[in-house]
Amino acid sequence: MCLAIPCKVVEIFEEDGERYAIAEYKGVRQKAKLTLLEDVKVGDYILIHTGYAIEVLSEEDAKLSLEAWEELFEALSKEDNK
Amino acid sequence: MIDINSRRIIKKSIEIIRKLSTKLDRVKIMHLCGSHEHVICRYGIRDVLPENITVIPGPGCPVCVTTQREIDTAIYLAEEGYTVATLGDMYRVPGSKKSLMELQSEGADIRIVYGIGDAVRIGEKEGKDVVFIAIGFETTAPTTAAEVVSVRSKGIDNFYILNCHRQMPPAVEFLLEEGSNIQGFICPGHVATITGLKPYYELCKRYRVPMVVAGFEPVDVLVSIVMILRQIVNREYKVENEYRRAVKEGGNIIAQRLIDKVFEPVDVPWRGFPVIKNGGLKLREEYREFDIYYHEDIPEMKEIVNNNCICGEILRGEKLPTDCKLFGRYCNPLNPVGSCMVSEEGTCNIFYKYRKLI
Repeated sequence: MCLAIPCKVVEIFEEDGERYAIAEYKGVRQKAKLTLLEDVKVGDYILIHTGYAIEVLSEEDAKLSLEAWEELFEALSKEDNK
Repeated sequence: MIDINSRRIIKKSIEIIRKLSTKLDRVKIMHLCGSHEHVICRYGIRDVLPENITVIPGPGCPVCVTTQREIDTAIYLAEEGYTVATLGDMYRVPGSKKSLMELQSEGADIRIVYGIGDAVRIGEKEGKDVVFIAIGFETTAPTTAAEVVSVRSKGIDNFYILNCHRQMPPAVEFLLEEGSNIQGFICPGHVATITGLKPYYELCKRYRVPMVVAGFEPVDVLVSIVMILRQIVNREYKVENEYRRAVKEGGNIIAQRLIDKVFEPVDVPWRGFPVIKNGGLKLREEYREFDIYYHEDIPEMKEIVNNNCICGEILRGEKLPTDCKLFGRYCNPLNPVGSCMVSEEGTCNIFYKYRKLI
């Protein structure tokens, strides 16, 4: 239900006064309404849930998370050696 | 997109979970999303956890927590001649007498749709009165809100919703208020993309329990367990955001405004729970013309449930599917007795799918 898959935006267009994106995941293309998001560009990764894009995924934050976890583990190893 | 499942981080987190666990007695962590249960079963995460660290599924499945009465109401409406549009999982949930699928085989007009937008289009194209079964937590509520606003602006007058939306944090509060022995929560990442972290700050402070908002890759679940165990070892309680790549501190403001414009909180029962204060959302008065309960006089119906089904206890985190005498033989995905066996997000369905691994 709340399974939202990260898909890459390949096209943005308007239809009946509403904004849509075509987004792709492993070759499968799907259409998603962009009503809930303001700044979406072609090439962004979006989370799609029941036909609506709900968030833009941040590649930078993904990288930062990996770094933060490394730091966390480092800190935990130190705590452990106390 | 970079692959977040770094082998190094996964190995390290399993190592650290083991180390932290030696400093702890028994720890019970609850997650609140069927998609987390999927990841945990599919990747065998429970197998790598030390014996004293347990992760249990909670009420994180919108189809599962929908009450029998709501399903019976959908069936009643289809029998009355409405076109009932629903997400796939609801289609097979047994009502008191039958499921929507069985009713369809008798000729009722039931449509499976991917989202509410498809349901509106059926009404527009075919001119029939369409009722959409609006289920879901905060992730789905803004899509209903957006569509209701759009239907209003287009002047469509043959579209209604059977509103079954629920809000997750009040259910967590209910469990904590009941004095549960859960020492940490893995909070649902996609609900938090909408709500942000705020609802969890309040709960965390009041009940002094660690809460980590987590993503849906195996590494996300493992790292969130590390974060929770670390807090317990350090005698801390705070909200941490493990899923930064998708969850912003303040959530999705456009979605929050839409929910607030169209809905207001309401006390509702959940399957397995009594009435939960603010556990649901109802359409505001300005939008009640889209509420099927307002439009149609729906009679009181008596719920008939199988007393051997333990969906309720499973949703409250008190039991597992393997504790149920119906599980696997009498109740399975082809012949489900309770909602938890029907939904792809239901604990029984997931346990059945991966039963050889459990």
